[in-house]
Amino acid sequence: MPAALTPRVRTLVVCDSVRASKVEESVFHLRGTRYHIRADSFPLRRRLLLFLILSSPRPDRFPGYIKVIDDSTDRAIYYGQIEPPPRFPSDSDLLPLVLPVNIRFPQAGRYLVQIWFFQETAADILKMEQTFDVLEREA
Amino acid sequence: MSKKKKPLRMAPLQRLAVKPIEDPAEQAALDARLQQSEEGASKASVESGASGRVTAPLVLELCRRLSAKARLTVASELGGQLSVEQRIEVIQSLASELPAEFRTHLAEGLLGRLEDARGTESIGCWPKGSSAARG
Repeated sequence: MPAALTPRVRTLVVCDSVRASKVEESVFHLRGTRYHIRADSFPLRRRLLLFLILSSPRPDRFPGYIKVIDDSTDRAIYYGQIEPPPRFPSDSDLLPLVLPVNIRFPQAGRYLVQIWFFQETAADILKMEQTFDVLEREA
Repeated sequence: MSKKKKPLRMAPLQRLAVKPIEDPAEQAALDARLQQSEEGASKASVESGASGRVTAPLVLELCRRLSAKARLTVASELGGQLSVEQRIEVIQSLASELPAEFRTHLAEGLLGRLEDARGTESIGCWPKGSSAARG
Protein backbone atom coordinates (compact mmCIF):
# COMPACT_ATOMS: atom_id res chain seq x y z
CA MET A 1 0.00 0.00 0.00
CA PRO A 2 1.48 3.40 -0.91
CA ALA A 3 2.40 5.67 1.99
CA ALA A 4 0.23 8.72 2.61
CA LEU A 5 1.52 11.83 0.87
CA THR A 6 0.42 14.27 3.54
CA PRO A 7 0.50 13.99 7.32
CA ARG A 8 -2.41 12.70 9.33
CA VAL A 9 -3.87 15.12 11.86
CA ARG A 10 -4.15 13.05 15.02
CA THR A 11 -5.30 15.84 17.31
CA LEU A 12 -6.84 19.28 16.87
CA VAL A 13 -7.63 21.32 19.94
CA VAL A 14 -8.84 24.91 19.90
CA CYS A 15 -7.55 26.67 23.01
CA ASP A 16 -6.23 29.91 24.53
CA SER A 17 -2.67 28.91 25.35
CA VAL A 18 -0.20 26.03 25.07
CA ARG A 19 2.94 25.48 27.10
CA ALA A 20 5.43 22.65 26.95
CA SER A 21 5.96 21.01 30.34
CA LYS A 22 9.19 21.98 32.03
CA VAL A 23 9.48 18.69 33.83
CA GLU A 24 8.17 16.12 31.37
CA GLU A 25 9.40 15.76 27.83
CA SER A 26 6.72 15.75 25.09
CA VAL A 27 4.00 16.79 27.52
CA PHE A 28 1.98 19.96 26.91
CA HIS A 29 -0.26 22.09 29.10
CA LEU A 30 -3.29 23.52 27.32
CA ARG A 31 -5.45 26.25 28.83
CA GLY A 32 -8.92 27.28 27.78
CA THR A 33 -9.56 24.33 25.49
CA ARG A 34 -12.86 25.01 23.88
CA TYR A 35 -15.55 24.11 21.39
CA HIS A 36 -17.19 27.51 21.70
CA ILE A 37 -16.80 31.16 22.54
CA ARG A 38 -19.39 33.65 23.72
CA ALA A 39 -19.67 37.23 22.57
CA ASP A 40 -21.78 40.28 23.33
CA SER A 41 -21.73 41.71 19.85
CA PHE A 42 -20.83 40.88 16.27
CA PRO A 43 -18.72 40.86 14.25
CA LEU A 44 -16.32 39.35 16.77
CA ARG A 45 -12.57 39.27 16.28
CA ARG A 46 -10.90 36.64 18.43
CA ARG A 47 -7.39 35.27 18.76
CA LEU A 48 -7.29 31.51 19.28
CA LEU A 49 -4.61 28.86 19.25
CA LEU A 50 -4.87 25.61 17.35
CA PHE A 51 -2.90 22.77 18.92
CA LEU A 52 -2.23 19.98 16.46
CA ILE A 53 -0.43 16.67 16.61
CA LEU A 54 0.52 15.34 13.20
CA SER A 55 1.89 11.97 12.26
CA SER A 56 3.73 11.11 9.08
CA PRO A 57 5.42 7.98 7.78
CA ARG A 58 8.18 10.06 6.18
CA PRO A 59 10.26 13.13 7.04
CA ASP A 60 9.42 16.12 4.86
CA ARG A 61 7.92 19.60 4.90
CA PHE A 62 4.18 19.81 4.41
CA PRO A 63 2.70 23.14 3.27
CA GLY A 64 -0.84 23.62 4.41
CA TYR A 65 -3.51 26.09 5.35
CA ILE A 66 -6.35 26.71 7.77
CA LYS A 67 -9.84 27.40 6.56
CA VAL A 68 -12.83 28.37 8.70
CA ILE A 69 -16.25 27.90 7.17
CA ASP A 70 -19.53 29.47 8.31
CA ASP A 71 -21.71 26.37 8.48
CA SER A 72 -24.93 28.33 7.87
CA THR A 73 -23.74 29.84 4.59
CA ASP A 74 -21.01 27.37 3.56
CA ARG A 75 -18.75 30.36 2.96
CA ALA A 76 -15.17 30.56 4.14
CA ILE A 77 -14.66 33.39 6.62
CA TYR A 78 -10.95 32.76 7.18
CA TYR A 79 -8.04 31.49 5.15
CA GLY A 80 -4.56 31.30 6.62
CA GLN A 81 -1.40 29.75 5.27
CA ILE A 82 0.84 27.95 7.74
CA GLU A 83 4.27 29.58 7.66
CA PRO A 84 6.82 28.16 7.52
CA PRO A 85 5.40 24.79 6.42
CA PRO A 86 5.50 22.19 9.22
CA ARG A 87 8.70 20.17 8.91
CA PHE A 88 8.73 16.56 10.01
CA PRO A 89 12.13 15.54 11.40
CA SER A 90 13.49 12.16 10.36
CA ASP A 91 13.68 10.84 13.90
CA SER A 92 10.07 11.52 14.92
CA ASP A 93 6.70 9.87 14.44
CA LEU A 94 4.63 12.72 15.85
CA LEU A 95 4.88 16.46 15.41
CA PRO A 96 3.13 18.86 17.83
CA LEU A 97 2.25 22.28 16.41
CA VAL A 98 0.87 25.51 17.79
CA LEU A 99 -0.84 27.77 15.26
CA PRO A 100 -2.18 31.18 16.29
CA VAL A 101 -5.17 32.43 14.35
CA ASN A 102 -7.02 35.71 14.55
CA ILE A 103 -10.50 35.21 13.17
CA ARG A 104 -13.30 37.65 12.51
CA PHE A 105 -16.60 35.85 13.12
CA PRO A 106 -19.37 37.78 11.33
CA GLN A 107 -22.26 36.34 13.35
CA ALA A 108 -23.23 33.82 16.00
CA GLY A 109 -23.49 30.24 14.79
CA ARG A 110 -21.60 27.09 14.00
CA TYR A 111 -18.26 27.19 12.21
CA LEU A 112 -15.99 24.47 10.84
CA VAL A 113 -12.27 24.67 11.47
CA GLN A 114 -10.46 22.81 8.71
CA ILE A 115 -6.84 21.78 8.23
CA TRP A 116 -5.79 21.41 4.59
CA PHE A 117 -2.53 20.31 2.99
CA PHE A 118 -1.28 21.14 -0.49
CA GLN A 119 -0.32 18.29 -2.77
CA GLU A 120 1.95 18.66 -5.78
CA THR A 121 0.17 16.26 -8.08
CA ALA A 122 -3.38 16.22 -6.76
CA ALA A 123 -6.06 18.37 -5.18
CA ASP A 124 -5.51 19.99 -1.80
CA ILE A 125 -6.55 17.55 0.86
CA LEU A 126 -8.69 18.14 3.93
CA LYS A 127 -7.15 16.24 6.85
CA MET A 128 -9.19 17.45 9.81
CA GLU A 129 -12.44 19.27 10.42
CA GLN A 130 -13.88 20.29 13.75
CA THR A 131 -16.96 22.23 14.67
CA PHE A 132 -16.68 25.42 16.68
CA ASP A 133 -19.68 27.35 18.02
CA VAL A 134 -19.83 31.10 18.42
CA LEU A 135 -22.61 31.95 20.84
CA GLU A 136 -24.31 35.21 21.61
CA ARG A 137 -24.16 36.01 25.30
CA GLU A 138 -27.61 36.27 26.79
CA ALA A 139 -28.45 39.59 28.42
CA MET B 1 -0.43 -12.39 23.24
CA SER B 2 -0.27 -8.71 22.31
CA LYS B 3 2.54 -7.40 20.11
CA LYS B 4 4.99 -5.05 21.77
CA LYS B 5 5.07 -1.77 19.86
CA LYS B 6 7.89 0.72 19.75
CA PRO B 7 7.02 3.94 21.61
CA LEU B 8 6.15 6.79 19.28
CA ARG B 9 8.77 9.52 19.11
CA MET B 10 7.50 13.07 19.54
CA ALA B 11 9.33 15.94 17.83
CA PRO B 12 9.86 19.20 19.71
CA LEU B 13 6.91 21.58 19.71
CA GLN B 14 6.85 23.86 16.65
CA ARG B 15 5.23 27.26 17.05
CA LEU B 16 4.43 28.45 13.56
CA ALA B 17 2.68 31.47 12.15
CA VAL B 18 -0.52 31.52 10.17
CA LYS B 19 -0.48 34.21 7.51
CA PRO B 20 -4.05 35.29 6.77
CA ILE B 21 -4.95 35.20 3.11
CA GLU B 22 -7.11 38.31 2.88
CA ASP B 23 -6.84 39.04 -0.80
CA PRO B 24 -10.18 37.92 -2.29
CA ALA B 25 -8.39 37.01 -5.53
CA GLU B 26 -6.03 34.71 -3.66
CA GLN B 27 -8.94 33.15 -1.77
CA ALA B 28 -10.84 32.64 -5.00
CA ALA B 29 -7.74 31.05 -6.54
CA LEU B 30 -7.57 28.55 -3.68
CA ASP B 31 -11.25 27.71 -4.06
CA ALA B 32 -11.00 27.51 -7.84
CA ARG B 33 -8.00 25.19 -7.56
CA LEU B 34 -10.01 22.89 -5.35
CA GLN B 35 -13.12 23.08 -7.51
CA GLN B 36 -11.15 22.35 -10.67
CA SER B 37 -9.64 19.29 -9.04
CA GLU B 38 -13.07 18.08 -7.96
CA GLU B 39 -14.57 18.65 -11.41
CA GLY B 40 -11.63 16.91 -13.03
CA ALA B 41 -12.05 13.99 -10.69
CA SER B 42 -15.75 13.62 -11.39
CA LYS B 43 -15.00 13.27 -15.09
CA ALA B 44 -12.53 10.49 -14.51
CA SER B 45 -13.75 7.17 -15.77
CA VAL B 46 -13.15 3.97 -13.89
CA GLU B 47 -12.74 2.02 -17.11
CA SER B 48 -10.35 4.40 -18.80
CA GLY B 49 -8.32 4.90 -15.67
CA ALA B 50 -7.06 7.99 -17.48
CA SER B 51 -6.93 10.30 -14.51
CA GLY B 52 -5.05 10.05 -11.25
CA ARG B 53 -7.89 11.94 -9.50
CA VAL B 54 -9.82 10.02 -6.91
CA THR B 55 -13.54 10.34 -6.30
CA ALA B 56 -15.81 8.47 -3.91
CA PRO B 57 -17.61 6.55 -6.73
CA LEU B 58 -14.24 5.61 -8.21
CA VAL B 59 -12.99 4.33 -4.86
CA LEU B 60 -16.22 2.36 -4.35
CA GLU B 61 -15.96 0.81 -7.79
CA LEU B 62 -12.35 -0.19 -7.24
CA CYS B 63 -13.16 -1.58 -3.79
CA ARG B 64 -15.83 -3.84 -5.26
CA ARG B 65 -13.10 -5.51 -7.28
CA LEU B 66 -10.95 -6.24 -4.23
CA SER B 67 -10.91 -9.32 -2.03
CA ALA B 68 -12.70 -9.08 1.34
CA LYS B 69 -9.32 -8.91 3.09
CA ALA B 70 -8.09 -6.10 0.87
CA ARG B 71 -11.36 -4.20 1.37
CA LEU B 72 -10.82 -4.35 5.11
CA THR B 73 -7.33 -2.91 4.67
CA VAL B 74 -8.71 -0.04 2.56
CA ALA B 75 -11.49 0.62 5.07
CA SER B 76 -8.95 0.76 7.93
CA GLU B 77 -6.71 3.14 6.01
CA LEU B 78 -9.59 5.44 5.03
CA GLY B 79 -11.07 5.27 8.52
CA GLY B 80 -7.76 6.49 9.87
CA GLN B 81 -8.18 9.69 7.90
CA LEU B 82 -11.51 10.54 9.51
CA SER B 83 -11.93 12.80 12.51
CA VAL B 84 -12.94 11.21 15.80
CA GLU B 85 -16.51 12.45 15.39
CA GLN B 86 -16.70 11.00 11.89
CA ARG B 87 -15.33 7.66 13.08
CA ILE B 88 -17.96 7.50 15.81
CA GLU B 89 -20.64 8.34 13.24
CA VAL B 90 -19.44 5.54 10.94
CA ILE B 91 -19.31 3.02 13.78
CA GLN B 92 -22.79 3.99 14.98
CA SER B 93 -24.18 3.75 11.47
CA LEU B 94 -22.58 0.35 10.83
CA ALA B 95 -23.52 -1.00 14.25
CA SER B 96 -27.17 -0.06 13.77
CA GLU B 97 -27.30 -2.35 10.73
CA LEU B 98 -25.97 -5.38 12.61
CA PRO B 99 -28.22 -8.08 14.08
CA ALA B 100 -28.52 -7.86 17.88
CA GLU B 101 -26.24 -10.85 18.59
CA PHE B 102 -23.44 -9.38 16.46
CA ARG B 103 -23.80 -6.04 18.21
CA THR B 104 -23.19 -7.79 21.54
CA HIS B 105 -20.17 -9.52 20.00
CA LEU B 106 -18.88 -6.17 18.71
CA ALA B 107 -19.41 -4.50 22.09
CA GLU B 108 -17.43 -7.26 23.80
CA GLY B 109 -14.62 -6.90 21.27
CA LEU B 110 -14.48 -3.12 21.73
CA LEU B 111 -14.52 -3.42 25.51
CA GLY B 112 -11.60 -5.86 25.27
CA ARG B 113 -9.67 -3.36 23.16
CA LEU B 114 -10.50 -0.57 25.58
CA GLU B 115 -9.13 -2.61 28.46
CA ASP B 116 -5.96 -3.33 26.47
CA ALA B 117 -5.51 0.34 25.74
CA ARG B 118 -6.38 1.62 29.22
CA GLY B 119 -3.46 3.25 30.95
CA THR B 120 -1.48 3.61 27.74
CA GLU B 121 -1.48 6.51 25.36
CA SER B 122 -2.42 4.60 22.27
CA ILE B 123 -2.68 6.36 18.95
CA GLY B 124 -2.48 3.26 16.86
CA CYS B 125 -4.65 2.29 13.95
CA TRP B 126 -8.37 2.91 13.65
CA PRO B 127 -10.55 2.52 15.68
CA LYS B 128 -8.13 2.26 18.60
CA GLY B 129 -6.70 5.68 17.75
CA SER B 130 -9.97 7.46 18.46
CA SER B 131 -8.84 8.04 22.02
CA ALA B 132 -5.90 10.08 20.85
CA ALA B 133 -7.75 13.11 19.59
CA ARG B 134 -9.96 13.79 22.54
CA GLY B 135 -7.73 16.66 23.59
